[in-house]
Amino acid sequence: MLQDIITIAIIATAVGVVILRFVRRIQGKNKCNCSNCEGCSCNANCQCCGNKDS
Amino acid sequence: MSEDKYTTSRLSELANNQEATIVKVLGHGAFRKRITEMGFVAGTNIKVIKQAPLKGPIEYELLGYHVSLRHSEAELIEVVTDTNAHINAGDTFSREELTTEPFSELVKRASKTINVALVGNPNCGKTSLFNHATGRHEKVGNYSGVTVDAKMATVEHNGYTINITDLPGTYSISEYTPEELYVRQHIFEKNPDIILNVIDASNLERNLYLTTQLIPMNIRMIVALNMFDELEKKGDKFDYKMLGGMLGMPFIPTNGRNGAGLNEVLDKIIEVYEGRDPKVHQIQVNYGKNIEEAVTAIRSEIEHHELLNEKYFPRFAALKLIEGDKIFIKNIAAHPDAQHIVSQADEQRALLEKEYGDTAETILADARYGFIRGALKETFVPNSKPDFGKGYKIDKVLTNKWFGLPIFIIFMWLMFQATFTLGQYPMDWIEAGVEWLSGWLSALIPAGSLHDLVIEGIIGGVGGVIVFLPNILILFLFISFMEDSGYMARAAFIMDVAMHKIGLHGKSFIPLIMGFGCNVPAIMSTRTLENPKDRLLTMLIVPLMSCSARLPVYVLLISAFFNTHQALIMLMIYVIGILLATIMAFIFKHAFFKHDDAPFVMELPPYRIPTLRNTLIHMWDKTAQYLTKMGTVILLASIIIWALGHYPQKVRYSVPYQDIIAQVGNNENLNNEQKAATISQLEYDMKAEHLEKSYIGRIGHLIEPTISPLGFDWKIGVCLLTGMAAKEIVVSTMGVLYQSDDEEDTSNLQAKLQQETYKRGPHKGEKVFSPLVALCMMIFVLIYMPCIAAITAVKNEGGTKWAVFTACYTTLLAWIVTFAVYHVGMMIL
Repeated sequence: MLQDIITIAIIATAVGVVILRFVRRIQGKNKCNCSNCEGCSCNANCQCCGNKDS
Repeated sequence: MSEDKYTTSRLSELANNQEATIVKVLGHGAFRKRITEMGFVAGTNIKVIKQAPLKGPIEYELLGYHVSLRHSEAELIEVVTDTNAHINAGDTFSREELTTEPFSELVKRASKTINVALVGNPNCGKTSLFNHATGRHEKVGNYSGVTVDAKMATVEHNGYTINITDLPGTYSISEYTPEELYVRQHIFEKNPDIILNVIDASNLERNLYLTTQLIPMNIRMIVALNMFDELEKKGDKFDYKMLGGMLGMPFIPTNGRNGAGLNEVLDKIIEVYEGRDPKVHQIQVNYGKNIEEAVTAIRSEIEHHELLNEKYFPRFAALKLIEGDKIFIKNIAAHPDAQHIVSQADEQRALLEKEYGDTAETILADARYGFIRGALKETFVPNSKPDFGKGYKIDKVLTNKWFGLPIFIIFMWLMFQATFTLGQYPMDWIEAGVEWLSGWLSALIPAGSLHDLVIEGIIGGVGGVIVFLPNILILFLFISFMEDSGYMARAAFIMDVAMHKIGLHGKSFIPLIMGFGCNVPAIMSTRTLENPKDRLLTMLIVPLMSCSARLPVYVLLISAFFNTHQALIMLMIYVIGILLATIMAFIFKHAFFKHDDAPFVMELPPYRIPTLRNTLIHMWDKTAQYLTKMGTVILLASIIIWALGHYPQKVRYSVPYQDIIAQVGNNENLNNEQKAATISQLEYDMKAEHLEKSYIGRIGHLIEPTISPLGFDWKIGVCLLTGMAAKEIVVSTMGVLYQSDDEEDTSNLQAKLQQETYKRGPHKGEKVFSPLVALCMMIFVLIYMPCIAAITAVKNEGGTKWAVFTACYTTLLAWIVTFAVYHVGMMIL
């Protein structure tokens, strides 16, 4: 029973993170603080300034 | 202006309620464009409404609306007031008697006045040309430094008044000599309409260096190719028109001794001033990825600083700051709120100097000479063979028309061979580590859904991909070496002829090669292509360059199903991608992108031995990126894919497995070994049926009809579907889906693929994978829709329409090619 609860919690967290990242991308919040940042389109470092995807 | 026939004022000099007529807008690129679009054009009447105190903004009325300009902006607008007209018309007119006719005549005359700055190296024949143009006999010497001050004269030509300022001869516009500083200052303060850059044709490389420094000042430029007759006498061949096309400025041969070509120069000055030459456009000298990143960062800060943005062209200012030009830095630092820009430039400079192991000045100079060398390589054929040093000798081999391409292919083969052979050992170690971790956690966590999630989902998924880290690092090592050493630029030259045949330029080859690392920065690097159609066309075919994320799929399938010639098969996959890219480029060029080829420069930067420090930094960056991706995207995907395969937990089985297992257990006719074997088989069948009836199985069966003609089953279909998020997920999904196997068999994924059989349908019991199916899967993965990140990059760079087009055409192409390969293979085998 406890295992099942933990498992479902992990899965729900994963789904939640995916949805949150998608929503942030649509809202344009996947940009770092660079004034010319156009948003990071992959999970790697920001193309304009090397900062992590915020 | 000592010899002007009239006077004008600047808009900033007007008093409240004073009226004037605009005759000219000075200033550079963006400001000029903006202000012209607002209506500030020659002939427009303007009136001062009010001025803010302390040189604050000034409110004007023009074309029926009110607009505010900063004092510094108003300084750049030349006007004619009643007072100017009165003065220019002569004292015989009183103000009341002034009619509109002489006034509009004055405006017309003022707007037909062109200010030209004459710039060039010492002894290039600049002053001789000046004298011929203006009919004066200024002192002309045969040693540098004769002209120590600017001389001005006026030429009337075809209804235009051309004021020519002969500036001191300089080799560059840095900070070292008074002449250089004077030339720079003159251009900033006087804002000439046109720069006439005089070049000594017998020494193109050195003379063009000054040209590359003038380009970022963003003032329209014409090149007078002086002493062209001497170049022709030497037997050299120079396609100056092509070079002019590349640099976006007209080149006109002249002869300073007899004045030949001068009329053409004056005609061209008028044509360019009036915007009638369509070939004139602003280009950028490409300094290479690292320097351009530094320039972009500084430029953006300057653009956001009001005063600096008006006074200096941002890119020019950024380059000067990064170069460490002390006088320029001092001028910038004197502005309020600009110290942080200087500090940032200092940081960027320090980083570049550390990376290249040389001063910033030298690094930029090298890049400029690389640009010049690239331009001249395409346009200049010397009669004699000059000796430019070791780099030139190396280029003679590497860019030789017979050896160049074979050398490149050998290099690519070496790259893949190293990926397999060198990568195998660390791969085995990582795999052993993953297996150990799996065993340890399996013993630690009691049986249940959490146990299955961790072992089959997380470790199966992430572990399945992380083993390929060494292969990816080796691939990136080779690509970094090609970029940092300068060989990448040579590869572009080698491929130029081939690229032209498919409608592209050799410069497009660099983003394509970068695509072997990752399609996302490759798509973004198409910004270096000046022509927007070339940029789009290159973007559309970059996804066919097999990125490093697809490498785990190839390594897995080739290792599992091909015992020999593994590197050759890998090379073949990449070659198929290149061939398809070629074919698609040819088709797209003729279908969508028909246009005249505009020439542009392919830089030939100097050869450099990449430093160990740089190499390690690149390897570490890539490792960090890969591990970050494992810990985020791949981890999330593995959990979700496992969950889709685990739920619903209760499914309707075709056979009552639990009852049969119980019966077998109680069957006294079987011995223990037979019971264990039978129960094991039943549990295996039950697990396989559960997977088929889970959510992921339903998705897989839904798409199976579309992929079964390619020899794929539903599990392969699901792997391909999940690969749309990121290509590494193909392997992690395989790692999750192929867990349902007999426990006695070897646990690694390769073995599981080799043993996988059809559970249902007409092929029940047959092996799913064969070398042909493995090859088909690799080809499909090579061609079909790139990952979401790459599609987003296409959308950002080219628009939503082209992003959707890319996703659709690649998937359709993948289906067609894989179908053909599968069925031809079935006929042959």
